[in-house]
Amino acid sequence: MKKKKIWLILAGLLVCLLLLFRTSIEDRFIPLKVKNIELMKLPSNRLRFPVNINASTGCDAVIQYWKKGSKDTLYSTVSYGKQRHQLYITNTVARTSYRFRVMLKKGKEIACSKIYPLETQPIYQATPYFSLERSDPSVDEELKNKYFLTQILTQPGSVVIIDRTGEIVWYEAFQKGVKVSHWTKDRTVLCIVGPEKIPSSGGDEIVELAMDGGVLTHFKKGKGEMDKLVHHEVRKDKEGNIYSLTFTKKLADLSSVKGKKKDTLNGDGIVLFSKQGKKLWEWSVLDHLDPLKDPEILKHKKDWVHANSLYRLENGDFLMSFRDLNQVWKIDFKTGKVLWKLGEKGDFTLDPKLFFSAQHYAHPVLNKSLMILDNGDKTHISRAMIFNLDTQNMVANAERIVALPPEYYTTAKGSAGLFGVKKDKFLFCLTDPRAFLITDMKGKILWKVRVGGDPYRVEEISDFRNPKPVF
Amino acid sequence: MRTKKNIFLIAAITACVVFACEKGLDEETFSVFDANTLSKPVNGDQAVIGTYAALKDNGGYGYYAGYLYWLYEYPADVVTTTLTARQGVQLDQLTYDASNSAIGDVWTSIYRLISRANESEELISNIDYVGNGSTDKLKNQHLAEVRFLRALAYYDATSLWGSVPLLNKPSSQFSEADENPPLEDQATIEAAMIADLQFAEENLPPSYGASEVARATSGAAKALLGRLYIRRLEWDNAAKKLEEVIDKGYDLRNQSEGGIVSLFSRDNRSDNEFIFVLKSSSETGAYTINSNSFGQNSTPWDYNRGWGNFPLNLSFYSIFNPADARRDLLTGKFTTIYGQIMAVPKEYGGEAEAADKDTLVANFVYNLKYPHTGNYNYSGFNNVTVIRYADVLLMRAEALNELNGPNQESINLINEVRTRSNLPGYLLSNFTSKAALRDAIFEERHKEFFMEGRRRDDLIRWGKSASNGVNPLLKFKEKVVPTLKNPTTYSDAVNYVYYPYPQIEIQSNTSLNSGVNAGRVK
Repeated sequence: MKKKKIWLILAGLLVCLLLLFRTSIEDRFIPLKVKNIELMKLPSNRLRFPVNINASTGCDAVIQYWKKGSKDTLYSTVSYGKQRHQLYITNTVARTSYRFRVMLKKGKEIACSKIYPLETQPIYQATPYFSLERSDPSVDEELKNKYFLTQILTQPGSVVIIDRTGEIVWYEAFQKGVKVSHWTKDRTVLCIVGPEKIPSSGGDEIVELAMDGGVLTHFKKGKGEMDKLVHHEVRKDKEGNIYSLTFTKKLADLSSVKGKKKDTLNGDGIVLFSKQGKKLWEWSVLDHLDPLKDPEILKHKKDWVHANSLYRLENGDFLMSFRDLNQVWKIDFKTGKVLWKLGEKGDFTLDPKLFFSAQHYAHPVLNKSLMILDNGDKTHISRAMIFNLDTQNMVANAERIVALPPEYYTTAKGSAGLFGVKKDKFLFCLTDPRAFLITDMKGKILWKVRVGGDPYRVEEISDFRNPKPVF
Repeated sequence: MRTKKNIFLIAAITACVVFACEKGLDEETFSVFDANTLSKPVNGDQAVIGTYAALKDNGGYGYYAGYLYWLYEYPADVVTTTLTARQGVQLDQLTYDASNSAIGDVWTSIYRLISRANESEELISNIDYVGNGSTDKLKNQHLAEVRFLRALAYYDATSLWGSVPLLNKPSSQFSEADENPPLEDQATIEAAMIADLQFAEENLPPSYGASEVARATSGAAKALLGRLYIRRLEWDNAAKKLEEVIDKGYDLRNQSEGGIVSLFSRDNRSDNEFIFVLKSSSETGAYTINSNSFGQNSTPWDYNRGWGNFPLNLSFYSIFNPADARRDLLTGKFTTIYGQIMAVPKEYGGEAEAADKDTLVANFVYNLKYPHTGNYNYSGFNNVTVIRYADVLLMRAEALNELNGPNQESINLINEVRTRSNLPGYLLSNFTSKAALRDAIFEERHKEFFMEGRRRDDLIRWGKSASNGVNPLLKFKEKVVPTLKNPTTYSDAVNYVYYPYPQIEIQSNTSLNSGVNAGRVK
């Protein structure tokens, strides 16, 4: 009897222990499994699919997806250490059959769901179409996993990412127009949004979007510290601050040229915001130009000099392009002083053949060179130009020029940048001819996408795809 | 031994308790939540409301809130423009081309409405009304409402452009070709409209409860169908269809109720003379969304700080009998906000003889059908008339005259409209020919419907019936040329019956090319 009692007590203790450590035992013994998957199709965006995942236990999760019959596997981002996950499928083309499955990971244990279908719907909207007209086999390798960011300026507007075949793979629509967009180092899209009635690629909102559609940053004129309309450019500097061009005003005495004693000049400025929207720095071109030196100032005073691109350099200084001056300026961040002006009537000795006009998209390339799209207002030939700047002797030379055939002349807007791993190709956005081009260094057209509306700019994206996770 | 057995038993039970409770949930489940498929009758109602909202497009000037009536009124002979609005001047002076933004705006608005109607039709069709505690009667009413609206949009499209793309399916059924739809014969479009309107007249209720304002009734469907038949010169069909509306809950706002002037009062927006209107809301926050642009634009600055974008030619004032109550809907004489008297000159039937320090001689008259108050008041809480009962009466009078020549019923119908506005009735003996009565009917419509979007259609139809269909521009040219600043602007090489297809459409629709506008612009 005594023995029996001891056994019973021991058994009771075992039960208690089992109950007490139930969860850790579950962890040890409950197999890692996908319990439930819910695929969401929401009308707000036809190429973005939230997927709710419920796992048997806390774990990491990722979605693998692929076009039916394709071996090219895409991934969602990874969600870590949860039992319930929400992941997004964000890289699909319309009207296509996909397959997907969920993968879970806990420690060394891996579990996969069954494979499920995902049929994407047509994108029906006023989206201009992008159609691939030419893709030379020599760029096939280079175009692998390449995507391109562009925008629809008219209302309703959109930020759009296309793949190398011109198919839209990601978009975000706005009631207003999207004036310019930029792919940031944080794999987000930054853009200026505004109604069509604001001219000069201007807008009243700055929006930063994550790939899942989440709004990470939203500045609006009249709210917080954004007190001016912005235009033509919005980018992030290396610290993650956001900078843009602004419209600025200044009163000036133009009575000596038959204007008013207190006349208003409208020009351009720079604004730098912290991530939180605090205004860190401002600058106005109107503090650096003498209106009386412009013989046509009364005609120009409504939109004087017309800045159209801005780039913050590593050292904090800015490159700013002025369409109506046919010049690019470098502006000292610490003092606000204009360090130099490149172009006709500028500070550099420059062969007149290298004068550019109505240029866009001034940005640094290949260490210390400067690249622009010369729209060629005066020659009606648009060119990509890379300048080598000798700031000791103030001499500028052309490092590389690609002049496009006359049919690709664009009077306004557009961009030209280097493309590819070796940076040995050019990527153009040409607004009037409505085309995106990739050319080689000699200007041979290797790739062309025709655009249905007026694009403002195109940017290469190399890291649109989520990396393959270690699972 | 027994003890050991017990222990194993306890351990086994424990294990079962711990591990087995999760069993059965291990099966992996998969579901799709597709918000694109809304499944309740209330969603059907929302789809219907959303389709109505397309009548004013984005508010302000959109579609029936403004630009549509620019296209219907500016080119005709009553409404002209001030020099400030370039797009309007082009329409008024017949110098427009394919890039005129008002033309493009209306085109876009029309196809936006059609697209919403198509999406709504599919959505409503897929909803199980009965299974969700509602009825198929309501389902058919919802379908009928969106089909009525779609027919109205095509009515405008065909009035303005003739052949247009026919796109009566939801985007889920679009093929590649549907993204660049070709032009379809006007007759094919009209067949689709007739099918929509016949469904609508069968399935719409004759009236609605007080909370459901301005929704389409069976009377509205019949009246629009009558208007379509009469545009097609199908007099017998028109006469019959319009008769079905007469005495069916509609009447003219008579003199004891305040007559025609009070019909347009902002306090009287639900009068049963209105068969179908764009209703504007007076709810707070309605600015741009639920307003229309007519109030602000109809009257001049001197009158009540309006913008005066719809000036009417003085000659129009002169055609009215001074007793005609409809003349009171024009600014014949008023005290300006600065205290002066502004009056129409004597030669045009007004009172002004010469300007002096207290009197200004008017250059134009302005309509008072869209009264508004206040400064910069965009929120025009006016009805924008689409069809009213007087139109039904005059259309039936016209159809009967075209069928039978002068007849007593036509005279009676016209007289209803005339006597309501203090005018003596006509006698049948006043008219000795079909043409004479036809002219009288169009003159009556001219005075009755100014600034209600009818004049352009009327001039074209008048030309057609007066020339046996040979010359639709007969009356348009006769009436419009004298109102042009430069009469040589009018070109016989241009068919003003149809507007040019908008440039934006030609550029984005690969089925069209610039050749489609041959003969539509100079």
